[in-house]
Amino acid sequence: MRHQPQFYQQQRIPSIAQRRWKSFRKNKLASAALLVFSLIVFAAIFAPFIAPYDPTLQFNDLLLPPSWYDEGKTRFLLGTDEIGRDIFSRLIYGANLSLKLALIVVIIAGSIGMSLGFVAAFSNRVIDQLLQRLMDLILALPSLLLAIVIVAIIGPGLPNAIYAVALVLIPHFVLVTRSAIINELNKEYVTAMILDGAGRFRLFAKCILPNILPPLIVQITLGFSTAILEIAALGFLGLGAQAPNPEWGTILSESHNNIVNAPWTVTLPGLAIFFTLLSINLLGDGLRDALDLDK
Amino acid sequence: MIYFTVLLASGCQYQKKTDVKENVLVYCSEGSPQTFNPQLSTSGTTFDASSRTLYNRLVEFRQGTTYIEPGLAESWQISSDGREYTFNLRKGVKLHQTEYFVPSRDFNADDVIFSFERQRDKTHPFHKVSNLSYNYFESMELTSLIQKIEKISEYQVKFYLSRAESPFLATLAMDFASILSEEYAAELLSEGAPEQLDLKPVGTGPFKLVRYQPDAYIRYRAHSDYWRGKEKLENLVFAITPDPSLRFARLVAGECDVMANPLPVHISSAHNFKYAKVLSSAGLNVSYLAMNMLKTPFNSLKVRLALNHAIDKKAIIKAVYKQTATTAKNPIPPNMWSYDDSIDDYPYAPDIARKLLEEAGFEDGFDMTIWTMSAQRAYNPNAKKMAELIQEDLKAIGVRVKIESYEYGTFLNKVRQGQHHSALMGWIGDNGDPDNFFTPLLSCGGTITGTNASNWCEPDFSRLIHLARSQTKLRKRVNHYREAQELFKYYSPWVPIAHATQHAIINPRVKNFHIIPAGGVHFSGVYLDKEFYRD
Amino acid sequence: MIRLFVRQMLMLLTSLMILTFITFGITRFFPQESLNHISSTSSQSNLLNEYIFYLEQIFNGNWGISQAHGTEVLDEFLTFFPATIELSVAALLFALIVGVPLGIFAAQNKNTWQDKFIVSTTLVGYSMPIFWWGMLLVLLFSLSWGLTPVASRLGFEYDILPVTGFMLIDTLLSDQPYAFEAFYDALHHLILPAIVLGTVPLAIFTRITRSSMIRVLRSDYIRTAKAKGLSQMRIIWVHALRNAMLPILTIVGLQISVLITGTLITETIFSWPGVGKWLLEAVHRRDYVTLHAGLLAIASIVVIINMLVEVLSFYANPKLRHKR
Repeated sequence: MRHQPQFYQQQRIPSIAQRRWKSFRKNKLASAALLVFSLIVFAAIFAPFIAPYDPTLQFNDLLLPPSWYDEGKTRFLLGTDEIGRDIFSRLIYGANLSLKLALIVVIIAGSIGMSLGFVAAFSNRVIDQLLQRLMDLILALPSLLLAIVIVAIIGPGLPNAIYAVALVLIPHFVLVTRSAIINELNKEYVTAMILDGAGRFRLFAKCILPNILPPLIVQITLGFSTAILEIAALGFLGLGAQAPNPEWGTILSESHNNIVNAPWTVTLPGLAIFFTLLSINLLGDGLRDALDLDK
Repeated sequence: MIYFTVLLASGCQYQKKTDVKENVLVYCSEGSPQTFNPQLSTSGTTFDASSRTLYNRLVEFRQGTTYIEPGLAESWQISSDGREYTFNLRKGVKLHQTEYFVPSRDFNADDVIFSFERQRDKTHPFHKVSNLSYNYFESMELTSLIQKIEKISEYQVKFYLSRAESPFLATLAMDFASILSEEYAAELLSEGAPEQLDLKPVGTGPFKLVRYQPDAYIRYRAHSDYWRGKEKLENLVFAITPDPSLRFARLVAGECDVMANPLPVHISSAHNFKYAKVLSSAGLNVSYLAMNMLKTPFNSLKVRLALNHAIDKKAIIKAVYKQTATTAKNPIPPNMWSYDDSIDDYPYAPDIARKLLEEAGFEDGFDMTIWTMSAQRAYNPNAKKMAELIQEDLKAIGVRVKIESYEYGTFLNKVRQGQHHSALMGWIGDNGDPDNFFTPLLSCGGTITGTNASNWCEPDFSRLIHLARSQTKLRKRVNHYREAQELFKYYSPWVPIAHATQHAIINPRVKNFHIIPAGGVHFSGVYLDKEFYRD
Repeated sequence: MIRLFVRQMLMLLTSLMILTFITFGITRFFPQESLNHISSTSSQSNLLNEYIFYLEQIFNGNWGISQAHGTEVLDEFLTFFPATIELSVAALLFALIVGVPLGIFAAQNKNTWQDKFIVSTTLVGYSMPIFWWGMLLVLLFSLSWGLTPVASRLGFEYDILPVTGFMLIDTLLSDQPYAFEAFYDALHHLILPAIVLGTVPLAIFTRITRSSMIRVLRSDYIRTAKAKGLSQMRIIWVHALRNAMLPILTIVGLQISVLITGTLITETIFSWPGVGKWLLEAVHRRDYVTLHAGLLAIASIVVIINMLVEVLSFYANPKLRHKR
């Protein structure tokens, strides 16, 4: 029997962030996804140090299978492509490129979309309705089609593909921001704050912003995965990044020619895209649960 | 790798259970034809789908060779000065009877006159129909060569030339000289729909058109009254499949019987598959980088020479052609008569190239754009890849290359208009005569019609070509062409890259199929082994 | 009722109006010579006049001549569109037939390992880059195992006259001796593309059905039904499903644009002669006339279908229907 201390145990109330982190950690899939995604981000950031070769360097070994095959060489972990470039290096640099591009897209689309959503939520009915209709319409348009038309106008190439994908993503941010703000504005504590005489800025910064953050964070993760997918799709269709750029979709479309005789040149880049998307989506799902948004 | 291919080869392919397949040959072609009128095109894709299937010419090449044999003309006489050609036309040649046209008469002199006058006479009611130009007719300078075409009788036509022209008969055997139906044209004109002539064709050839869905398929049926006798092959389908890997996949799966322009990598792996058999023969082609001399810095000879030194052709042969080609130094292929093998190629030497650039005043290099076409051709299996290799090579001498890729038709049109800086071009000889390379690709006349992609106009060179053409003595022609090749090498308007070996991959059930040295496909005489799928 | 109808029509009109603004705006960026048919030629025209002229041309069906084939683009669109509809409907059916029961099953077994497995699998489907997925399936099913054809809608040996443009119908209408065999072949060709195109919608339908079903199963009337001793089967299929299906209907509407995006890629991979492949080839040809027509036509169709789905879900939902 142990001696019981005669004072109250100090109770540490976990902060909201800590609570959410805890609940996120409980979700094993999401935690694993976080790990995988961190690895991908790490590989992307340190690509020049991790990748054994320059992504455009051409060796004399063409279409070498991955190293675990009999004909493979350990020098080229995942084999080489049609003109003798190391696939592993290209995929690592591709991670760098894809994540960077997706980040740029999300920053562009997010800042424009959130500002517009903010404007819509706080402005009068007419502007709000007009904006709503426009966004609904853009949402109704097939995203890739819109991106393709934009690319057709301003010409294929990476920067143009970025603008196109960003434009397609904007409406999602507008709608999420708008509905989140309006949701909060209708709550009683906000009314109380307004009655207390809080100014618009104070109102926004102190009580609306913290409460609309969760849906926005989830939207950002979703936007991130959509951006990666659409950029890759444009690359695959020959409208995004142009060869010899090691963008994943572009690599895939280049290797398409070898699907019959060198299937690994198709399966590997696809796996890279797939695992990145899967980890982000699992992460998004986990966040949604942790942030308790599924009501 | 072996694991995969064995897996593929051992697979039981998706198969039809009935005899429907036994009567249909499916050709996986590389693209939609621009039109069904070969007069209006220079693209092999269009010729495959029109002149070679639907039409005949006055004289024709014996299949698989470049020898001339009688076609719609049974015989001909050439005047002693070489300026008058009289053709005796074949009697009883039936035209196609289709859903859209029923001929009331056999082929005669009117059809011949119509087919040539449409291209020659700018006031002809059909001259401007379809809004496309007669590139071949014009670049062969036939507008000035043919003075008059005379109908002597129902079955006799006479061509008056402005000068003696030795390749004239070979010219008449070319695709653009196909004979269309005058009666059909007149009917369409009276209906006010003349453009239909180029979309819904009527000819005398071995097959007639049944149905065409753009970008999907072209369906032909054997012409039952064909003058050479009805084809054994009842049905012919062109399955339009621009993606080469898809073409190969379809062939391997037994969905196609013949595939257009296989990639080198397909040829090397074809032996793993039950339904793939490789045919090969020396090609009559060249692929090259054309530098547009109307634009800087390609107006400078030193820059052009620098590029000739900077590009590693051997690496290209290895990576792009997978060794199924030889390096090029002259504009004509080695199997063409008059090829000058004594000319030395500029060696691959980046340091010489850098020095040349310095001398030309480009110490820091320059920016250039290379245009490529997205479709692959018999002379270039992967232009984009070739451009990437060149990009790397030129980076070494400080030249920054941007690559732009266009769909085949767009590419040709834009290059023809001279919008390009430089472009990866190629040419397949279509009549076994060296003139067929020199005149359209390098003469001053070619700069006007746009087939001379370097826009190189050297009067001395053009004069030589002209002399060679009007000469009937073979030995003298050879000398002129050899001299022309030296001039070409000196001025270097191109970087000649490769002469590709021609390959075809066919299903073993296809019999009597021959590769045409001039490129393209020809299904006349081809038949199917009906027992093949019954095992 | 009439008020609703009028309201919906007005909404539709404004949407289409905004759409023409967008397409008109886009045409401003096209090279001038490619759009002669829709830009007015008078020299002193202002933007408004040009817009009105543009609308006139569009309504008169004067959508221009395609640069590549020299035929009317509107006609071309109509020849290619049935192939796309056929593929999309097949994909949608696949997604619904597999997705809805899967979602119901997951909801019934909420929080069991089966449920967790299904939910994670949907994420896998949702994360699938379909251009890769398509190639993978072709590699396995068509090239390695030879179970399915590689590409296109029908074996080329069958000569089927296009009447409706729907291959499944045309093969049956055909008077060829092999009509039924061709029908079977067409069905065979539809399998892989439909699976590829249906994968993402399948994932979405499963998730939506599951969460919607869970919500419904929690509601009072279901508890009442349970208390009355109704069988699980009866509760789910007769009472719960109807209400759980409502959000799915809305989602089907939203999925139309996802499907069209998918058809662009699927049709390219399978060489499926539909609108998606047609448009992509137009992009590569820089055929602006075709691009403009394709964008306008597809967008209008999507907007109209969305509106129809909205009306439909209104009728299907008694709560909304009886409000007024």
